[in-house]
Amino acid sequence: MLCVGLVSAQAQTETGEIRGVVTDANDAQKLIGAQITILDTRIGAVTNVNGEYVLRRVPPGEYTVVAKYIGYKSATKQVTVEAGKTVEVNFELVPSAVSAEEVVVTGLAAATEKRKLSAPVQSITPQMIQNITVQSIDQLLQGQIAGVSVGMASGLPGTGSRIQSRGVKSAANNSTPVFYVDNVRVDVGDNFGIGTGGTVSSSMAQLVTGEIERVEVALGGSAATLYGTQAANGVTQIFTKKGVPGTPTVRVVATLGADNPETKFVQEEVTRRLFFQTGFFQNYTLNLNGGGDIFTYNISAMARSTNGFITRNQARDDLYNIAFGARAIFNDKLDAEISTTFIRNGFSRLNQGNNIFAPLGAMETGVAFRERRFTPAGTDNPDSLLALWMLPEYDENVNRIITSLTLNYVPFKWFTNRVTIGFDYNKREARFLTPIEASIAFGSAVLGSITRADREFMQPIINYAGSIRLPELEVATISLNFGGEAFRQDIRSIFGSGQNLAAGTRTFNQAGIVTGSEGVGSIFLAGAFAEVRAELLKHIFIDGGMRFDGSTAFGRNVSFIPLARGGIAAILSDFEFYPSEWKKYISFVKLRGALGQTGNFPAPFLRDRTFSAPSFLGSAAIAPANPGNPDIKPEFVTSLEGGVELGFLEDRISFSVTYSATQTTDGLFAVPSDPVTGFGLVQRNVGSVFNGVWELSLSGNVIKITDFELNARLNMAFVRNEVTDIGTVGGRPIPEFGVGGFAFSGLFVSNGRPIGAIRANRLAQEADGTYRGRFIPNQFNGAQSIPTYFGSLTLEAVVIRDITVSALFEYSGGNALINTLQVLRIANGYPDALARIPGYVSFSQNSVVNPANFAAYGAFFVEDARWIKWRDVTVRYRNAFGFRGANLSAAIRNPLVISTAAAGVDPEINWARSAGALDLGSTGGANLSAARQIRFTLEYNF
Amino acid sequence: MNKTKQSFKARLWMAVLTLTSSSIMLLNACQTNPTEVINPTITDEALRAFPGGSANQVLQGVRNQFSAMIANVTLYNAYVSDDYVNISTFLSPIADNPRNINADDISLPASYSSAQTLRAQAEFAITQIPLDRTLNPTQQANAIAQARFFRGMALLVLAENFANIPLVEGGPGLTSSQVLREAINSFLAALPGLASPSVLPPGSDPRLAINQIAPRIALARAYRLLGRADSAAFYANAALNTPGSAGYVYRALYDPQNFTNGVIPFLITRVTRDLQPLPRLDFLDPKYTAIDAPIPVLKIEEAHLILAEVAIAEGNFAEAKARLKNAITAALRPDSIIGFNSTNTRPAVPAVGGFRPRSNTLSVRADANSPAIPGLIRTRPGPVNVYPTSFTSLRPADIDALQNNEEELVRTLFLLRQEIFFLEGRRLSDLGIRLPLWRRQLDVNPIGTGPGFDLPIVPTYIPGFANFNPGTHDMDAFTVSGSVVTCSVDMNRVLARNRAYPLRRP
Repeated sequence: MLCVGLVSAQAQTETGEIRGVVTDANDAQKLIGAQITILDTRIGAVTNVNGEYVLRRVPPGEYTVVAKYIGYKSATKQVTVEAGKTVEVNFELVPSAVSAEEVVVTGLAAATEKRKLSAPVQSITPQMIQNITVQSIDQLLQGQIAGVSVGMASGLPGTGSRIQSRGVKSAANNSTPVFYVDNVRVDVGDNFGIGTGGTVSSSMAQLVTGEIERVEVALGGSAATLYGTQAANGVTQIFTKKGVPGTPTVRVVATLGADNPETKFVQEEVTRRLFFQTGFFQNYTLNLNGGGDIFTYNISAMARSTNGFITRNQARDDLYNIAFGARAIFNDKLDAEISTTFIRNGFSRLNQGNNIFAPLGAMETGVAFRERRFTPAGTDNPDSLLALWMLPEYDENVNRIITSLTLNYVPFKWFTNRVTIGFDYNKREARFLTPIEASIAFGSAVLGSITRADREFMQPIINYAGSIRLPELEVATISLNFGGEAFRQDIRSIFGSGQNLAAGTRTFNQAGIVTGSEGVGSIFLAGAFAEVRAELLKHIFIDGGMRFDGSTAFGRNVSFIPLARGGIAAILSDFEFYPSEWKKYISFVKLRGALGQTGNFPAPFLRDRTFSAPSFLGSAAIAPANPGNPDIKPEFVTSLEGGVELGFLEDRISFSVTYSATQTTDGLFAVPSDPVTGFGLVQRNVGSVFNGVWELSLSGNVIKITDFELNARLNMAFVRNEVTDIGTVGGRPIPEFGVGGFAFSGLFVSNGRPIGAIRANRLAQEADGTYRGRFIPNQFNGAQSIPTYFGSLTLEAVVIRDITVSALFEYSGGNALINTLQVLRIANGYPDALARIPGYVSFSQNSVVNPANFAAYGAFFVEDARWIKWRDVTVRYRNAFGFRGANLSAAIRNPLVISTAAAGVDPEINWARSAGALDLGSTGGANLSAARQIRFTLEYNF
Repeated sequence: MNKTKQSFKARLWMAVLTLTSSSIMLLNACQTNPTEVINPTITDEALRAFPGGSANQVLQGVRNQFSAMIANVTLYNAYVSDDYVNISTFLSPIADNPRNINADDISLPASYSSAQTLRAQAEFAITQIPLDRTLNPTQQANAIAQARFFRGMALLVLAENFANIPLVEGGPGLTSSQVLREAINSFLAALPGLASPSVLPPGSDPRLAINQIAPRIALARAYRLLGRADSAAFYANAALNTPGSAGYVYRALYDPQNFTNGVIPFLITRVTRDLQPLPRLDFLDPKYTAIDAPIPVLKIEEAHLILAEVAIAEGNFAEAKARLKNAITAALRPDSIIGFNSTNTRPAVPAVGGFRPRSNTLSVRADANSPAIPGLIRTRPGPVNVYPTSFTSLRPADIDALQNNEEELVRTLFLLRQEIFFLEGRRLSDLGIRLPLWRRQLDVNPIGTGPGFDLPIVPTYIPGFANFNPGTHDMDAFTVSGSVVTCSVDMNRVLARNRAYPLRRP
């Protein structure tokens, strides 16, 4: 595939130059970073800090020069270039809230303007990135994409968010989208290594945002069809900076700040007083950016550190990142882009489990600090007790390299080719040490333990995309697009543990009982696609295509799966019949509709009947594991969507609405085997799931007066999720099955209910209104874990040009959570928690129900999980106090939790991440919200 | 126009060519190394391809499952019965009262499925062992006999705890008696093969070996449950007459590294998982103190107790007393752990009486009409003696002092059974309770509804909670007055009065 020869450089002796300045048509402000290209050539440039650009070595001739800038309408100008001369071409761009001309590539074989898409690809622009303060990609997505719900899994370091894009399509697979960095598929898995209670590590935490140029998000459905059977939840693609031609600039950034704990949900005064600290945050970045016409580069080194918001630095997070991105233009037919990033991340976390070693549980729901009854160290002084609880140490180190090399080869104007080769290598090691002194104090049967987990992830990938534009016909322009992708994923994990430690040891082999285990998983997936795109009458865009996928998810049998897509979009406002008087008010009208298929592969080897062989008393002990399903195949996700995009008042305001109906068929549901076989659940393609999602987006300029401008963006989504058919086996409906939560109150898959419907024991009320301990087990009460509505509001104010104030608010609701915090507090007799039980007074009088037996109370504490949060506020001051290139900013991430309904828990946080792939959230416990991250940044460019 | 057409065609060809060549390359790639993926786990194919030596591994899997079944059944029996009360655990909150249990109970599946899995695994082993060509005929016969013994144990446990038990996929629910007869067949088939030394993995714990005493005790137990006094007595005597029967015990073993005793978490630290014993049985708690503490399953005491029951049924009370005294002598084993530091504080729980007895100054009445007996409650926290195999509060003199009537003898017999089989998963069977089947079993094979299917069978003599003191539990309930703890009900007396025992006088 790489046998692409370098085409000899053209003689460049007799060429000319195009120069100019790009400004805002309204206020003549210079636009930095605007893209200038010559149509149908490889020649292009980006404006510098003065808004200037230069296109060198342009062969003499007639050209169309295009100026593009996100948030503005693009402009074109015709120029004639003569040898040895410079033409000046200035552009004045008109702001536009309709991003129709923005070019995207995700899910497409060739870069395409958004206006031509039948299924939207949304983007996070450099401006949006600048105006918020985040540390990882999932935080960057929060509130920015209509239809995507990003819920923080935990406020602790190393964790990743729970992302749901257009609902939840599968009961067997995670709802996290596929992530790409510069065309290279990367690891975003979670739930590996050592569990620290319900908090698990995620590879998303290491996708840092430092050198991100922009992000494109293709939601699941037809926009993601070309990514095939893994793209049911959509594709998020990150593009890194590759440098801007011009004088090299050095950028030095220093951020100092504080991680201030969010204590709104803390129950006990002793916790508030002793458990938290305000962490000191620092981040230093050195960046080199520059290059010439044929080579640009962006080199960056970053060090970030915080000692965290938990006492004794148990939420420490240190990260180092070196990133290199470059673009080389060999000639007008061939260029190459390379990016490589190395990340080292080390962090600490504390045990959040429901066991005696969990400090927060002990303080918030346990009895130790309240009654001082459990005094393991022979002390009841809270400081001394906490010192004991903080003895266990959890540390994790991650080393990660992501590399991408992309060649763009354009042998003819009408034939483009793109090949990317790259890999993501991700090595993590986690270590959990419970020292001997802690074990002795807690009376544990095991005297000190070390658990060690290593995970090595390697994923090489190669992909190709080509596009041939057929000669223009009178009424139509047709492109044929085609391509393919192959990647292999190898995950090797090793676990080791030592119990009954030798005094003072920090390695697990110096222990009384040493155990180890290994996990190996490999998968290979290859796919190819072909697609036709046509422009009819210039304003109608039709596309249709197929993808074929094969995967080793079935063992040696690589099965090929066909997936189809098709769509149509029409820009009514561009037709001649569109009344010009309407244009004044409704300046842009686009209708679109698309149909597409994606899928979800089953986990590897589910076809085979397998046995496990754990060690038992010194010998391998063979036991039944998976009964095997010879008929297993991927889940199919078919999506039909339609939408309207409108621009008002000369595109000052844009509005779009999309409805998507997504049906999962052959859904992989966990079907029980007859217990007499000795086997458990088996995955079968029996279920159907429906997701109906409305996405609304409204953005635009609200106020524009001298020295003040206010822009707003509102995203809203409404989700209906339903298991439309739970399927049958042997003529009988499959029994409802659990996908999360706890045994006493769990998240279930049940016919006619959403995935993750909450099922709990209910305490029955007697005729006299009291509760005497009679139970109605396993009741659904309509509560569900998937949010039915969510959205965000972004406000951005520009004051005297150089000062930008932006704020992001988010909300989510329509779902419920299992409030384990209150259940556990009841168990331990906290009076405020006991008072929450209806008819509590009668309990101690005439009931057999024991409040300590907290599991009984699961039902009471299925609570409303809605929340409204002020997510971000950032103030940026460019060219501060007249110093050119000096930028100041002040920001607070998570400044305020505006409103929640559940008692004492942050509903966004998931206290107990369930064991399987699927993560639905909806468990509340003694958990930790993200800290209020206060940041002051000084940036200097010279 | 013509030119455009040609060019159109040419470009179309180019598209087709590129597509074809890239597809060929991808297909090629599929045949080379990057696609090579091997299932790292054990498949049927792998087992077939490696017949040599697999018998030991398959049997070890069966032993592991046996230990799992015993731990699960022991735990569930402990708190559903009068032996323990569920103070604060993740176990089913409603199962403390057996009438509350239904097929959906969250803690029930472990008992049912682990027994069915053991049965299925043992049957798999019986078919798999002959494939192992490394065994000589004697070893093969022994290995198969071991698998048959475990199959019998699975069936015995199923019959003791459940009422309608399917044994094949989609098959009918068999009665406890039918399953007991199937268990008996398995034990009888296992007996000859177990005469030879046990086939064990190299370097194994010798306690894994199974001799002929174990199946003989199991046969006596099965015949007792069937009400067959003659056969029960025959195999009880056979067990006693087998060389090495003195002090014999066959245990489910646990592995400190990989598979620990599942009851231990509820007995030692008891901070988040707390079961508390009936005050009358306080002196037996905790029976297990290490994560790999074995659970006794077949003990020679059982043979004495069965012979005592046979004698009672025959009206031969003197003989019965002699047998009971033999059982006591056998139960006072020399393996007790002296001075184990019991850190458990017997916590106060406000809503359940506010207090659990924890001082040796207290005496206990089995019910309101029984005498207060001192010494049954130990002072905690503090050093206590632990009896990991058997123990009892009775001594031969207590038996001699008994009146010669059936109720007194049977009550004492059940008290001995309760104390000697404490934390061994036997109490529900003695109480005559049968658990419902696991909902999943009924979902995939709907063999019936009602008691014995999705509901428990609870004899009417098991008291309902409404008859007991407020704020406490049913069979576990007690009151404290001064230095006397009074249990609300003496279930052993109830059993005797209701003649709820298999070997009854006609």
